[in-house]
Amino acid sequence: MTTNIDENIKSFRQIYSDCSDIKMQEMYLGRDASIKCFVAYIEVTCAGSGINNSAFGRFTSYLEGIDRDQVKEVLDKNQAALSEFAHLHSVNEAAQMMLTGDVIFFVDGYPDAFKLPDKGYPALSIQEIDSEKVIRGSNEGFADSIKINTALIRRRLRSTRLKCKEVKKGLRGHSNVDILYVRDLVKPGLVEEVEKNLGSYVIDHVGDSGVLEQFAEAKWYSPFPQLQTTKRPDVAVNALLEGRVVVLCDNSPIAIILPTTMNNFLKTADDYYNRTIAASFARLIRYVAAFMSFTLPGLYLAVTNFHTQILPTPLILAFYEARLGCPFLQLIEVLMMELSFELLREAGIRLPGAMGNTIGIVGGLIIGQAAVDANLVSPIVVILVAFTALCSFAIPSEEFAFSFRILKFAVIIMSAWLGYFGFLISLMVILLHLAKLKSCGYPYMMPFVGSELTGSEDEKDSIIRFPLRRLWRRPVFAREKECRKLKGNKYD
Amino acid sequence: MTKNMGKRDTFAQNESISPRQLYRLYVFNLLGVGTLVLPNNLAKLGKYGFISIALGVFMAWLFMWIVSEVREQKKSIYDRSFGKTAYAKMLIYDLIIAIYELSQAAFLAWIFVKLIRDSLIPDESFTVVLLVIMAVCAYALSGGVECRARVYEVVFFFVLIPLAAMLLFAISDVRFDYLMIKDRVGVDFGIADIFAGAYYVFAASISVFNILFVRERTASQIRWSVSKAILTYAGILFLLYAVLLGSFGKYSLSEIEFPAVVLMSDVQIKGSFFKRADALMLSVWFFTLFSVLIMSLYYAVLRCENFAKNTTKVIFTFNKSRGFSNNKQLSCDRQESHDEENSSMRSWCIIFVIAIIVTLAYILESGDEIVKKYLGFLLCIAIPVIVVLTIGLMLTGCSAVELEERCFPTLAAVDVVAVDTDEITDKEVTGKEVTDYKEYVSHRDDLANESSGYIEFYYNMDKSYEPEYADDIKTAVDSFEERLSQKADTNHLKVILIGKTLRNDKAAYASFMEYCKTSKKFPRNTYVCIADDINDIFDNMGDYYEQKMNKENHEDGEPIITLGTLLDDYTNEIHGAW
Repeated sequence: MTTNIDENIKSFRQIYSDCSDIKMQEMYLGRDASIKCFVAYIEVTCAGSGINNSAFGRFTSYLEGIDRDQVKEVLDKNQAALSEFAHLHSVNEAAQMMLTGDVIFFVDGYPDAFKLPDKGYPALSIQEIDSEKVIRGSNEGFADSIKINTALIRRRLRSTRLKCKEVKKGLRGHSNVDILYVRDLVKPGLVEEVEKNLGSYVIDHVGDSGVLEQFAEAKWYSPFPQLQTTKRPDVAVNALLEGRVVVLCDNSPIAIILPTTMNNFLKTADDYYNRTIAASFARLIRYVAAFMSFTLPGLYLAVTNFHTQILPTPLILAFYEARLGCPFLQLIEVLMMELSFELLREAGIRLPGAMGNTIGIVGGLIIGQAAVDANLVSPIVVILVAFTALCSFAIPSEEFAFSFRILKFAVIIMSAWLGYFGFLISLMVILLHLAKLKSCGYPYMMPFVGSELTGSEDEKDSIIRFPLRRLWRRPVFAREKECRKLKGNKYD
Repeated sequence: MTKNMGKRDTFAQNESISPRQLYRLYVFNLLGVGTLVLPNNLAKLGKYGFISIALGVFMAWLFMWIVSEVREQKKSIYDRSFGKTAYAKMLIYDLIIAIYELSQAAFLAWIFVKLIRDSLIPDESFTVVLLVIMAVCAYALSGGVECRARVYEVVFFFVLIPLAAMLLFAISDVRFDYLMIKDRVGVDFGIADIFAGAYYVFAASISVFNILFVRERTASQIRWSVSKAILTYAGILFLLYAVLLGSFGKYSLSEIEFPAVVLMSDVQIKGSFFKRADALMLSVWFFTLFSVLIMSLYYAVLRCENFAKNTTKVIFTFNKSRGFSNNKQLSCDRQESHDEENSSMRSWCIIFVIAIIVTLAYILESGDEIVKKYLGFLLCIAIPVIVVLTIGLMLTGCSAVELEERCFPTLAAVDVVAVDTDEITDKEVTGKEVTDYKEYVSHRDDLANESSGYIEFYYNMDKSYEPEYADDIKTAVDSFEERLSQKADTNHLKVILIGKTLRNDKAAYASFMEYCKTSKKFPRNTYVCIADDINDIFDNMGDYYEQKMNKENHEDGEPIITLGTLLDDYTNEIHGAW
């Protein structure tokens, strides 16, 4: 960068040649219009200099009223009183900073460029979330802008100990990634480990936090998510208070929380807002639903194909009657229905809102009924698949539910092949796999394993949620010195 | 984010087994073999079996205590520098322990497969079941010690609570006269037999030896956890043995291979959704046997790995006359964390151990003949062939019988009738059908006594069949079912009608009982009734038996006799039922 504005403009224009969306404008400001200036911005990110209530508008208005010899002093001391006024020392830096959505300003005779905040990129604002919904509590969700998201967290956690480290990720995309943690709660080494992981690879562009998640997972082949994700700021805040780290990514409304355990995927935000009995009952239902969501079709096949003695005679005879005339093997029948359900689900997601809902009804009622009437499937299987689907919907985390939906097919095949033995084998393999999994070194099955580390206190917030007055200890993730979260005469 | 955080601040200490995991793991290890094979081995001792259990458990506890002491002392031994002789000794110890663990694992694998085939999937081949189990074992081994410990920590209550519940339900079926059965004439038991029984119990608890290899725990921690496990095991074994003895009687119990599993098929839970829970309850032995099998395999793998590494060192290090400053690596109790287990050495050891176990289990299954003829073949060629065949079996489809390919007879009848052979032959020729909803099979019982005739056998199904004639009941039933277009699923058989003639014909009755015992064709919880003329009852029965079946007792308060009771009475030589 030189004091000669023409050279700077030339360099800048060279960088942004053939970029029709970049607006570059020369202008003359100052009391006698003797100060040559240059402004550049992305078309929609700037409201324009004519709008006085924008930073850029105020800045140009201020420059209009000064003499050329005052320029240096005004700019050095930020006399225009702009809060996010920043000096940029090279043309390349200026060119790069413009891409964050700010306005870049060059002034003749001054060896720096300036970054002026304006309205920035257009993005979806804060909206009500469509998943992880709760009955009690806020339904506010993260937005696409990382700045809004950090603000949403900060709004809920007004602590000076909440820290936010920003790193750039993406060789070409230059996305902002924020690492949030509470300084005195997070265990030493965890934040450094996160930073190290982020710096361990170079990628063109981080389109979503899902990209970071995949690079951070230790076992890519596992169907189970090893990091928790959320769209809810309150869940992120709760995680921060447990000594965990939250990673936010620009252009993504989904935050990553790490480390995590299986138990966290079956919790919802309102578990802590509702009364103990209601929350515990809901948790219990979710655990049972999670188990059934991948075992029920397999168990059905094992029982009806191999171990008919388990069921009462009237029931097995009802199954028998229902199967009469059905041309497919039970395995094929179940697989066909399960795949149809997956198809309906996929179609429902991709279609626009109203149509998506319609496809569920059409699929569930009409196709199911038609398939039964045409003797393609037995009504029992339709009930079974519907119930299994219901169970999978009861799992709060979509990623976690998906892993069970995938495993369900393995259980179906093993059970159809080896009956209840095959079912047990698949269950054993899943358990072994879960036992092997770790998230940042923490066993995935905590607190059901190794709960002795916290004196079994973590188990009080697992299948059953104990009263809040009994949950005095932070989970195992938090630093030992700060493990107590509930204090007071009654609770110390 | 693939590594553990700092050891002090995070969770690295869970790399070793925690006391709770140790306790739960050893409860599983002990229950697996103990509850499965001990009751029928102790059965001949009758009520004295309780003393054997107490003695055996005490011996196991003592053994555990001694081993834990040895483990403590061993540490100082391994800290010393080794000479060449001591090094060679370590190799021999490793080899001996590896052989011991392998033999135990082979036996466990064999009994595991046998249990699965006998109780769950009798039509599946030994090879397929064995290979599936071994494949899962290999996966579990790759997870290291804490992996399986975590699994058992999680499933502990899911396994033990149903078992305890079933045992409590089974108490109501215990018969006092079965508990007090007197010894048969000429059979006498002395104190030596009680000690022999205790030895059985001790042998079934031998897995406590493996505490020698538990690391990062003090002797007192180990002793406390394993003592608790032994105590839990003893309690369950006592209760199980009492229930089994009271339910089957000593003689019947000694003839049942896996009585605990059979008991589960007998237990009737009021208001339960499940008709019979034996298949579901097999989960208990699935998890417990898996636990002890994996433990043996795991330590076998470690010993083999140690042996291979140390052999390499003996060859290369001693030849260069190097000192042994790093002899700690030789220590027997070294369990490497699973972060290091991806080494090729570990993988090869796992493959080697699995291959050995498959081979040994095969030998156990096939007996001496295979040793003579096929051992070399098995070692070199059969294992890869078996793998390919298993994959082939998986690809070619399932061995399941679809629902619509089954029929569910709910009633059967059997009797001895004096029927002229020529007459029956005429019926066959003329093709005369029997009345609606029944078919019968009869056969001449040539071996029966003076009242011998034909045993009639009926299923109440929707189709009529020509009578079948055969030389014995097995042939008769088999031939009859062969002619069915569907597989007769007798799991839902409610009642067996036995003709009075058959009941009074000792030889024919004995033959029928033996058939029921060996074939396992008819469920033990099938109700049994005696009729003067089974044909008449069969014709006029209607809903009578449905009503009967739904009641616990007869109107006169007498319990309904089940086939299980009849079999136990017959084996125990008690004439309680009739």
